[in-house]
Amino acid sequence: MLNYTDSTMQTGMLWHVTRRLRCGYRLPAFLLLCMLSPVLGYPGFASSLSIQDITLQIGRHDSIVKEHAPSVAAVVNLESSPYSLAIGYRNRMPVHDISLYGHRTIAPNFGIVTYVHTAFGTADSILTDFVIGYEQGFMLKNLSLSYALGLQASTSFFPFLERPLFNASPYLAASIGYTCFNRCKVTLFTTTNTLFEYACQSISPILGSTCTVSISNEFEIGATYSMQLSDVSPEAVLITSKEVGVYGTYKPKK
Amino acid sequence: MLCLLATCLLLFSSCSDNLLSRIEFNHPGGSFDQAIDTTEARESFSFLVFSDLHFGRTEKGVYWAFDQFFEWLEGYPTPPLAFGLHLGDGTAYSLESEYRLYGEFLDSLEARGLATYAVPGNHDVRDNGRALFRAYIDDLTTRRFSYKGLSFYLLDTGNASLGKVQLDNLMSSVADDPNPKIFCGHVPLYGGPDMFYFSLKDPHERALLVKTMVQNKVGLYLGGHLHINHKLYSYTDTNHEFVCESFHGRDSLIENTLPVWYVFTYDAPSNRITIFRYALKRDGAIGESVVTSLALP
Repeated sequence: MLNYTDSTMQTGMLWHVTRRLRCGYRLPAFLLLCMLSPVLGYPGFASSLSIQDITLQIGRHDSIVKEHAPSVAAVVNLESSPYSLAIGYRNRMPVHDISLYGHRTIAPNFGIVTYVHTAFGTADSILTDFVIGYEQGFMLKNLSLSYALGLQASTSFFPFLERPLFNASPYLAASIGYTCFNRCKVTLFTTTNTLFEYACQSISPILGSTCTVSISNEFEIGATYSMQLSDVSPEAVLITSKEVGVYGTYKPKK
Repeated sequence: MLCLLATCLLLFSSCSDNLLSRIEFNHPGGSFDQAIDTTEARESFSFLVFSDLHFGRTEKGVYWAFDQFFEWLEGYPTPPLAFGLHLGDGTAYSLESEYRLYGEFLDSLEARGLATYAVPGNHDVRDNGRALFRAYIDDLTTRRFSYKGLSFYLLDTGNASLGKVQLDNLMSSVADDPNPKIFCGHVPLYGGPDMFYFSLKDPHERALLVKTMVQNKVGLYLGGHLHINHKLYSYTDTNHEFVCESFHGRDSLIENTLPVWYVFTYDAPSNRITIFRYALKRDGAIGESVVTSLALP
């Protein structure tokens, strides 16, 4: 199996980041500012930010670039009403993903969502994507439904290219969840962007499911499976990446 | 809890091969192990490039200009075109009747002395399209060949992705080939920031291909798929991407296009490729224009 890592990657990456920061990409910087705007209020709430939960996940990630990569992820959820913030890190060697997810509640079951995600470790590149959109949820007894619409943009930086590659497309997401026995929840979702995955185009959907079981007020365990498709019907579709994992969540007592 | 987590992971890992163990599922595969000449001296030559024939396309306003094209081809000045490249979507719905017409068209080009290579497009690989491609067009959906010092890699991008097997084979074959190279696929690699829905979608796959182009003397990536206009994007001074217009024309509000084909002329002394565009105008005349001249590595 081919390995696309580069031994000089880390040195090259530092040089590349420094160079990019020095040169400045006005458009990506502007986009980053726009995307982060919903969470820019966080410093003001820093003192009241509280940890809602900490999730650790282990699993396996397969993609076109690398099969059978063990993946380890950690996500910390913070909250300061009306804001919530998730900070995530995933390691699926040789790729590292760092993510930030922000949510601002505008009204009950309605909010603004923002993702910022960076992946590095593939072909000397820094792959960054941004999402801004709104999300609305509904509750029908034990059934929860939600959808999100917005804009997603991505930039691919390479140390050997003068200009990054830039794409933009609609952000689309929908999920349906069912809670049973007051402690088990199954969720099915389709989206164009998750905390750690995205595509350059929104017609490359990510399909997935999660199953979570509460074992006490402080602990939850669960399993997740997701896959990304190369296209949609009627085209012939390939699975370009998939991930299976199990996770445990700790919710500190308040 | 840790035991439970470990048990769940083991259960997941031992499930279906298709869904969990392998990334490839219904993959295109493909190899690039055909023999090529890496010692041949570079010489100047020209070749024909066209894309999106779409035999069987039934939408309103679609038309072809076969008679005018054949007349142009038969009158093409010497030296003759070395070969032709069709960049995919020879059919509309991957039907056998469409593949039959597609194959007959390529045969008619060969009868006029123009052997033509073809790659599968997204419209060619629906259902059992690849099997029909092998039956009527070429028994290989991916291949490479060399001509007068340049190597041509024909990619199967019909799934909007190369897939793991093809990508691995491409990476290793390209690394061992010292010739300047041209990648020929249907779905564009990138094409520019305004190519919203018409290029490869996996950013990691794209990153690998871009790096491969820059580091392994791939001067040009040729794609189609877009129909409505051509696109030129230069990654570096010597690494470029060109996206072709469609060979068929269409009179409609959303797709108002002329039948277009191209001649690529490689000039060995300057190591540049000049792209000539030919379009059948509404008045029946064939217009020629120079699109650009590109330096190769």
